[in-house]
Amino acid sequence: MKARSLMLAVPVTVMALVSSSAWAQPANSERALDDQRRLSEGVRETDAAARAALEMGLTAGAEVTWEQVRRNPDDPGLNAAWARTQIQRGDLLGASATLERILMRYPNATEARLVLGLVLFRLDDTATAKRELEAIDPAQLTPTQRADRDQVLALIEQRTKRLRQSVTLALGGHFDSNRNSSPTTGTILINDLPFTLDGSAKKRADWGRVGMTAYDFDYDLGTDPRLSLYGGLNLLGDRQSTLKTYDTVSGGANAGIRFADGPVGAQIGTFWNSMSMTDDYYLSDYGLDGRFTYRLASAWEAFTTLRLDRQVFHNISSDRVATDSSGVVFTSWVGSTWHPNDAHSVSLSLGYGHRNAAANYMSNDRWAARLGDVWLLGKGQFVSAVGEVGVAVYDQNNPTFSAQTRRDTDGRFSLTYGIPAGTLTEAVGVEAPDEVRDVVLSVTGEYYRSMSNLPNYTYANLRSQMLVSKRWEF
Amino acid sequence: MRQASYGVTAVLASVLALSPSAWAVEDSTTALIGNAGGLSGQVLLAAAVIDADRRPVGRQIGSGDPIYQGDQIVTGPGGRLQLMLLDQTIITLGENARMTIDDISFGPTAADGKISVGVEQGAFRFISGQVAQAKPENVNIRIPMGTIGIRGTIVGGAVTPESALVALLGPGSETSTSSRHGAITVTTPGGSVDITRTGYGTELFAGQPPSPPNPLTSAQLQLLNSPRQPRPPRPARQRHRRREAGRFRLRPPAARRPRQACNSPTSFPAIPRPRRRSER
Repeated sequence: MKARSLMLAVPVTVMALVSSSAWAQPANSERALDDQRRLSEGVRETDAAARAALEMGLTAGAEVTWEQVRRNPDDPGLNAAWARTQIQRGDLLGASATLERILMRYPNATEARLVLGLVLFRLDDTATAKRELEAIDPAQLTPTQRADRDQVLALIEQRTKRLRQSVTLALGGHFDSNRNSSPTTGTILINDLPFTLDGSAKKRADWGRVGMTAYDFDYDLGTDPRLSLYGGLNLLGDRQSTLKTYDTVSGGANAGIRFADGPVGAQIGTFWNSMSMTDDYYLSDYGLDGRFTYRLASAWEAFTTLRLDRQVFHNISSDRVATDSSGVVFTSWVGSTWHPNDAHSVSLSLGYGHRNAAANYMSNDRWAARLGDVWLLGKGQFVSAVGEVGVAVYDQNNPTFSAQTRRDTDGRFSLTYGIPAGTLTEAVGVEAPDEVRDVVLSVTGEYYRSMSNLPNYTYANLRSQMLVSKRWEF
Repeated sequence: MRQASYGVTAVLASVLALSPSAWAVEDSTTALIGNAGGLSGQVLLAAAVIDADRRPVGRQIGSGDPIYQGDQIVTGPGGRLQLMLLDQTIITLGENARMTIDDISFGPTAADGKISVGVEQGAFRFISGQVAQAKPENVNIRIPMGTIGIRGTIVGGAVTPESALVALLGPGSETSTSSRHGAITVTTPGGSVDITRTGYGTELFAGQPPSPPNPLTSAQLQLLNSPRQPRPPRPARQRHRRREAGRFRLRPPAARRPRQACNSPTSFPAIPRPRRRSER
């Protein structure tokens, strides 16, 4: 009786898998969560790079040597050129001293005082920066200089608050060449027998609209100057134009404590996320995470991240075996960031992750390496490139598909370019209103390739994405 | 590039020192530690070990003048200068100050250098150069109550014979530059204190350990910035400044010393109890 029902069940399963969207890898528990987290982190990283690029652009401006300056230390023109040289080399400490020297002899040199204020702000000496900028008579500045001064004074006001809050809003769209992660070969194994994919299970391209909003805060405890609390809320929606089974809404919260003392930094917190797919409740994800940093030298920083997730999946129409993936996931990255100069940072890290899932065939170990590169191009523009390769080895075979235990190798490369709306409008000769000048437009191209010993999981996807984001701080 | 220019200077100095025709000036060549700049008011050479015949004690120092090992510099009322060391370390000295070059040397690389100066009196501002970046433990400032160990940073200080205020002014933890996050260690016979947060300072009194790091008041910050004054008249946001002055009312530390005038060159206000971050 049991054998007969199995004989009936297999053909039904095969037909369902090879001809419908039930073969939907991103709806698979591992991919869906990863996609949403990556999208959310991408918006935050874009925002951080945009702010860094904007700050660097504040002090952008003929090579002069130190010997020339020492021989003629009070020549204002020579000192101004030297300060620019120092800024271009990333020596802002030295530039601040040069600008101070100019002001010691020429206290009414408004431009030198403005640049000194901007340099000190970038060095995070906000108290002195504020004094210098407030000492300037705005009437002596050009409209652009006045805008820079007012912007930095506002940033200082924000940075020196005990409770610092921000809201980020991002809207955009993306196009995937293989949204359903259909196998490259067009076949999948079921019971180790190859079946050709048909209908909606074949590779399908699709457009999607994405929106994200996040609220973040940082609260200075006021007791120990090294400690602060942080936290936030986020909401993300991703709607496909055709493949509605990939429609996702996720929301979450996080909170924790930060510690910073000289070269040492640490943050430990807790998080909770919830996700629905196709309007069905799909996942609850909660746990602890931490990040520890150590400044090895002026240009080098080492970091370690640790994350422990408890993931609880719920079966939905597009993933009827989601609960098999429920379990505990541990992830850790160890790496270093190198800043060869102010406008460039390179980050290399190695990662390890272990998923202990309810079904052994979903449990796995993953090793990965990631290389990131961020270039700040001036006037708030930036380019960010990230490459990652990984190997995942599963604990046991999934008897539905094969007697072989799954082993995946995957690679991902993404390239993002961002530009503030103010810079863009300036380039075309249009004056943008202040409210939209800091809106960041970013374009991302990403190639993802997964290779597996099972054809079911061998596929590629090319994603292009455009986002418009703005951040309000208060 | 900066490293290269420093190297060129060191090589030139070595070549000059080894050249037969340079023997006569060996002392002044090898003992040159930097130049004076940004001068205003009375700035005098109070003591000279090198080339003392041509550099009489009491002479007014001019912009660009060489400064040598063992020199002592004194500023009078309204006097100030920047000492521009070969490794691009900058020490700014305010009015009514006295500083001695204890031991400054520059080796083939920045890590071989050593900077040790003494500030006996007055307000000063120190901005680290290549030596502090390569070998921070080789950079120290001596004050009457103890020493300040620089860990790659901007430091401000105000010294009287009886007391001192020493503060970390940057770079802070949120710097968007590749500069090392600043830190200083202030050591006295009674103990030591590390300051790792920008805008925090410690007070020193003879025979007592340094006070715990506390946020600087507006008046203290003004005092520490005084070496690079004068400032232009302040045109805008007077309302803000008045409010700040009211909020950060100065008070002397109880039972430590009598009340002193805020902006006197030989005194400074006390550091109040820890306050909010906005005072950083």
